[in-house]
Amino acid sequence: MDIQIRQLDDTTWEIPKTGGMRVPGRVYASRKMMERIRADKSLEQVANVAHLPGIVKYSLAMPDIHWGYGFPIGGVCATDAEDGVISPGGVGYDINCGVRLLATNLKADDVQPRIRHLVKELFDNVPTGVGASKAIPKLSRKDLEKVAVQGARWAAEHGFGSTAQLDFIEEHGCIADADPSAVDERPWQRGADQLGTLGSGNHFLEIGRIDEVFHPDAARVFGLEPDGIVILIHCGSRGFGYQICDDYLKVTQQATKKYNISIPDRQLACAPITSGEGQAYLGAMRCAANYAFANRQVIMHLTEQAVMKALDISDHEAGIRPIYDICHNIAKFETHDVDGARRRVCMHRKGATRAFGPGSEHIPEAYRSIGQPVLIPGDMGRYSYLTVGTDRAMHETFGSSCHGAGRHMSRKKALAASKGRDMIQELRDRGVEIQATGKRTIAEEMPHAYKDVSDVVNVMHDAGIALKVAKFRPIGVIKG
Amino acid sequence: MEGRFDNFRPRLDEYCRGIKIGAVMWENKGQNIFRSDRRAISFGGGSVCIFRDEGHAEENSRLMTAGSFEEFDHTADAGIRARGDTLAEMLIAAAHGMLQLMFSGVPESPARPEAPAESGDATRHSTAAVHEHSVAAEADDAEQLLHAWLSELLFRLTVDRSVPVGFDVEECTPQRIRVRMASVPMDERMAGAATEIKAVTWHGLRAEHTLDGWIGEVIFDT
Repeated sequence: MDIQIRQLDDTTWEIPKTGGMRVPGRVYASRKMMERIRADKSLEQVANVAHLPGIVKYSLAMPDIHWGYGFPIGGVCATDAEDGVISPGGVGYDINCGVRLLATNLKADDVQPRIRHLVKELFDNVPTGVGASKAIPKLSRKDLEKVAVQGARWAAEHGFGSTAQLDFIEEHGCIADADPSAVDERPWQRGADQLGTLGSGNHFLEIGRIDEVFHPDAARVFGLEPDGIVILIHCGSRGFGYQICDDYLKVTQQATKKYNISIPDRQLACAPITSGEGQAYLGAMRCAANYAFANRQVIMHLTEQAVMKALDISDHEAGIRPIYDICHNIAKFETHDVDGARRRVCMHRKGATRAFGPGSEHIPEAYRSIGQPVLIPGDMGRYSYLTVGTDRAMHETFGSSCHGAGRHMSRKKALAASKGRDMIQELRDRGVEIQATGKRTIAEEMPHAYKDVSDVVNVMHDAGIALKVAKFRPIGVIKG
Repeated sequence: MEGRFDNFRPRLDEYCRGIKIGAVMWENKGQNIFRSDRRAISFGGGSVCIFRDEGHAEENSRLMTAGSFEEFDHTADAGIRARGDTLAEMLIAAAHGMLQLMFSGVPESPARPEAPAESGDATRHSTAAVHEHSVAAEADDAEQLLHAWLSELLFRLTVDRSVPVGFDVEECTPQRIRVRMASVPMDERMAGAATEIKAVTWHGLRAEHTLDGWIGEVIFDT
């Protein structure tokens, strides 16, 4: 399919509405990035998403866009809450995969001399791969259901952090109206012993050093200073969420036929939001989202324990606290201004982040003068960013921004490119201490397999969607 | 251990003693891919053995047919292309492909201690780790069966925390597969080092009977 695209300005492109598209497509990218984006099927996927019934305004893509399943990664779409559809493919297998950014009282000089020891301590305490939780013995079904309904609150009330931290999580760490009865048997089995685990692939736990501050006022509000230490945790809903998505892809494949929904790609399988199938998926998806919030809450606690032990300091001295925790694979109801009227929509963000602007009641009061923190992890060898949402994002992208660097090299090519190279030493030479049990993962996740996150973040900044606050350089990473 | 894989006990034991990432029994037309003296596994696109209950290892090796797999490119995830003369071979080859993706990055670890000689059966210690179980999957057609079979295997592997080491296909049609499997427990080290597969996706899923036999393609979300 040859996709026509025209440039609107330096950072914005439009796919005109043609054929079965109900709305145009809109892509945020630089000219240089667009050359690469055109090379895979992502633009076709943006155009395909525009076919979904009830889609509002346009099918959006952020500058970290790449080819996904049905929806592109970096895809955003809003469907009307009454007349629109919900699609599990618009959320992804790893429901509420997201990032939590932690501030600390530590400076780089405190940590650097002991970084190898700290990384080892983290690695020993936070299970990776398909490893079982060390923090929480296998949960009973009853307790798992509580996690699914209460989210991060469950973890905070069971000794992992405190309830005061919940304000600094998107949706306060719990999406309402989760429905455990909508979750089949298998997800519970897969998720029973995975709370407090990182997983593998592109999941990680990173110790970062604040390298540059772009927005001093915002940095001050968030408690960040140059050379300060931050910690990023990137993971999601583990086997619980993957299985829920898998189960509901089958349900929505049937629903697509049942409700005579015409879609150009079977991976856009969907159901009307108001249908039984749609409501069931929403109920189950929220369970997975809440599991992920709880997971990051537990891992934050394990991280704090590891830092205190490795550096032989108290919790007060470590001063570990969440700056914010965001989802980047989610579907939820929000109200946005569309053509001058307030409209309730179901926001699908798949590899995209909410980026609400200043004044929003949905962000912590302490941040309302500045805007919502948007955490953008890069690859493990270069840098990550903290940005903030803007009014312009609210008007143009339903308050959405990019989520990360995005891959541009396949895992196979990355493995081939790393043959004969000592990737661990190469990272050490860049000042990054890494510990991972899987050599394959390190090779697959090598920095040059990813786009440069600076390019992605700069597009969002230049477009006025999410403004740069600070840049972090990794000094220690654990991966599965 | 009495069971379907008894005839392969000596070979299983040899593998089990050296198990680091699970012993997958392969025979590549007489050339062992698994070398017990190296105490390591190398996974690679190669031939896959389908075991039969009768006869002994050497004879069974002549019953082997050439199922094989290879990885193919996908930007964010991992794809496997599996081939076989029969649907069963293709499905088992696809399973091996999935296992390779999960376990090929697990590093070697120190050798396990040998079983005590006075046990009377030097193999008893290691074969106790192997358990047999059946896995079945059903679907409307071969393509959906490929998805269902691999999904079932993935589920069992992650929930039971065990690695398949032998497959004996009892029944296979485009609508159903039933396999008797031998599996070994996945220890903490192996689990921690495994590449997690989140799901078997529907993207680019293919199972086709061609003039050259069966070909299957599947992309895993990693």
